[in-house]
Amino acid sequence: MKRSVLLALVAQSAIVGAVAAPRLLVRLTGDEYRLRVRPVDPIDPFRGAYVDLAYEGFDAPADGDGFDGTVYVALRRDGDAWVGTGVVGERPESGPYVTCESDGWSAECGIESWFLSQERAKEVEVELADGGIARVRIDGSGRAVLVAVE
Amino acid sequence: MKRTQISPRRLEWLTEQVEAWRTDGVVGDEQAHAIRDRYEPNTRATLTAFVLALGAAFLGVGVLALIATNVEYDELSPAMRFGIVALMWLGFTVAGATAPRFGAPLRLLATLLFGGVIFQAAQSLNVPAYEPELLAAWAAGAIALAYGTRSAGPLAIGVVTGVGWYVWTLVGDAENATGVVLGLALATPVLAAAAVAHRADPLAGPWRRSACVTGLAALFVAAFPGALGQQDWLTRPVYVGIAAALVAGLAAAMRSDRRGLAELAGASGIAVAVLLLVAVAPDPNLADDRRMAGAALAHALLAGALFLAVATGVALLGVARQLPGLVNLAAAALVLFVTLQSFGLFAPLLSGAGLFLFVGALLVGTGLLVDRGRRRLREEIQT
Repeated sequence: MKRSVLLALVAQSAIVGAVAAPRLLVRLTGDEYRLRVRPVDPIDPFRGAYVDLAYEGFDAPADGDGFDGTVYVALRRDGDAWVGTGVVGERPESGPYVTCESDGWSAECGIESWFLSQERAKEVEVELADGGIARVRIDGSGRAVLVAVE
Repeated sequence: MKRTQISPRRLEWLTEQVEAWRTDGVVGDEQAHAIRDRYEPNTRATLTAFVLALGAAFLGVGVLALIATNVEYDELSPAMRFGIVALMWLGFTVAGATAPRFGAPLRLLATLLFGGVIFQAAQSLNVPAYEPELLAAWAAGAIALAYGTRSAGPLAIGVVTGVGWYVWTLVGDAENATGVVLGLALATPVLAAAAVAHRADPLAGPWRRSACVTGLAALFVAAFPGALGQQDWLTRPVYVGIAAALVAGLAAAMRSDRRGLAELAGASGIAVAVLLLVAVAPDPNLADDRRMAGAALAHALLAGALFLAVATGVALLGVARQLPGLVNLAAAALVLFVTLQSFGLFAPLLSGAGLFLFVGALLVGTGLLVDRGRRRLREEIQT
């Protein structure tokens, strides 16, 4: 096989690695937290049905202060699970937190989408109508990856 | 003398090469014509290649659709699903690079499967939905394979997904088609610059064809009343697009001949015209409805005139570059434009059967006129 084809394959593998590695690392090395969530069910054109998860306590402050660019959500224990304490612009000094990106309207923390088959997504929407628990892994810098919802 | 039959694509390449030799003075006019006259297109080989490419495209799209359905098999974990798609991608990539025959459809399939690998990985790791960067990753991998194997098919997929990614980044907050039009228009000079920089390289083809399609599509959409008109449209991706167009255009101009410079000027002109159209588009929130409708119509007419100019430019480019496909593209775009605009324009004046009769007659007339022009231009190409 030609060298140029091998180089193309190496480049493609590196691209796949670049797409998967950040989340894979958090999944392998992060600490696990159980967060309270509520679902809705849209469809992604390339990856199919998913449950869109809204996390308790991940809301923006009413005055929008600090709600642009990189933002943070500190977590506090609430019974057998964790909830957010609101979006802030400063990195929390202690305790677990999630790092998110905000466009000024909503914060995206990388844990909003849970991909399922279309049938299962409909079932989950009913099962979690009153909320559920998301198992999320978070590394030391607040990067979070969704593992499962129960 | 019996002419040798070769595939139309190879004939297109040969024609470009002979034209380049003639321009550089390597061969004279008579010799160039004699070389070109020794070959003719073999449409049967084209049909086989077309059927195989179509089959490969269906298989690839089928795998992508299977990934998108996210069917849960108890025995197949997400990691195992990723492994299966990755193995298929590797297998078809190696087969496409080494197979003595049918390499092109195999490479096409491998490129689609590479997209499958990206989306399966993202799905397995719950990467948030509607993430445009995944398209960018697919585009980068497709372009890497295209240059690794010197293939037009993967390059076409890479260019389409790359433009798709850029348009997606602009569409995010759009209230109407402003983001789509800006994305297509700003992609045009970048694609044209890539085509010009390739000079006589056969891989210039997908870049050039894509530049023509994006330029036509941008003005096609802009010519519909109310398509544009958005406040705060000068976003960061727009600035990035303008900067990319400037850098790519200047880099290509440095190694371009006069014909290439004209092509770059045309593509840049499309981007500038669309930026101006967006800048002067009537505000959709204008309180006065009648003034709003008048302003939108005048704006659409201006965009329509620009579309006609670009369609003519694409046809002329087809003649200058000896690429009949571009002449056909311009003709098809013109017919489609006249049809859709006629329905939009005459629907308020005519109804039911009258509308269809009028537009049908208009379409037949336009089709005949456009076909006549297309034939003349194609004859021009062949002489």
